[in-house]
Amino acid sequence: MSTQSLAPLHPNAYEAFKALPDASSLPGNGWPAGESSHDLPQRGEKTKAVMGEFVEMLKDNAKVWAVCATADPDGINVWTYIDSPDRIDQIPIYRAQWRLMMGHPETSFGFNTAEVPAGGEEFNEDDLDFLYRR
Amino acid sequence: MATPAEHRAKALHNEKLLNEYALAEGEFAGWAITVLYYCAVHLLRALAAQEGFQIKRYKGKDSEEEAWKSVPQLKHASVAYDCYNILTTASRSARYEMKGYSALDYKNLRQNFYEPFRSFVTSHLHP
Repeated sequence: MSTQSLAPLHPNAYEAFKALPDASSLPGNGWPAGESSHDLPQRGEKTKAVMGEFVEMLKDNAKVWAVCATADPDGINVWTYIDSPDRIDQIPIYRAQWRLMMGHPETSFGFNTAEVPAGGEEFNEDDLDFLYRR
Repeated sequence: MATPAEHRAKALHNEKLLNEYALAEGEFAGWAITVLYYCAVHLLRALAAQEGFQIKRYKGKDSEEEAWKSVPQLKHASVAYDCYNILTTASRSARYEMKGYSALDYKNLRQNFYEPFRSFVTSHLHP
């Protein structure tokens, strides 16, 4: 079991994030929950496009080492892997989630963030609709 | 279907466990963080229920994500969303990633993220 403590939060650090803009005006190209299975190929392309936007927002965060997603008729399950217990490193992930969510109001997301050391998780690409690794 | 008052009471019930049993002091700080997360869960559900949105699932319609998108008080509350997600991830790490937490970790999370989230929600909850 890791005994590493959270890095102390600088009192002014979180204030800086509050000044960031809210939801972006990203174009909505999602699909309604509950679509038919006839749209599977199209759904795969949309998943890649939407997740590409997400990764673009996080690519400069060196602590984020992988993002994967699976799509089903209810929406997109997203897992973001970060090698940092520091909340300040994690907040940009939630900001990106927020922007994606608000930019694609017709798409349902299930976001998850895992604090895992880089390389500490193996991925089976056959089970995923999208995978980004740094 | 739980009412806003029932969700709020559940959040307070969970806080009572944290406050009266000093759960965070010692080896169970990870569980204290998980309880803190479930306080936040019920506060979020209380506000959503008050506005006619029942959170029932983790994805799709009736999910937390949909509540953030559609409940008027939530759809512009990105800082509250950050706080909620920080608690979610910390709780997840405590339960699944074998992560060890200390009383100081708990205190930091409570002061910096839970209390602001709680203040935000309670400022919008009807008495």
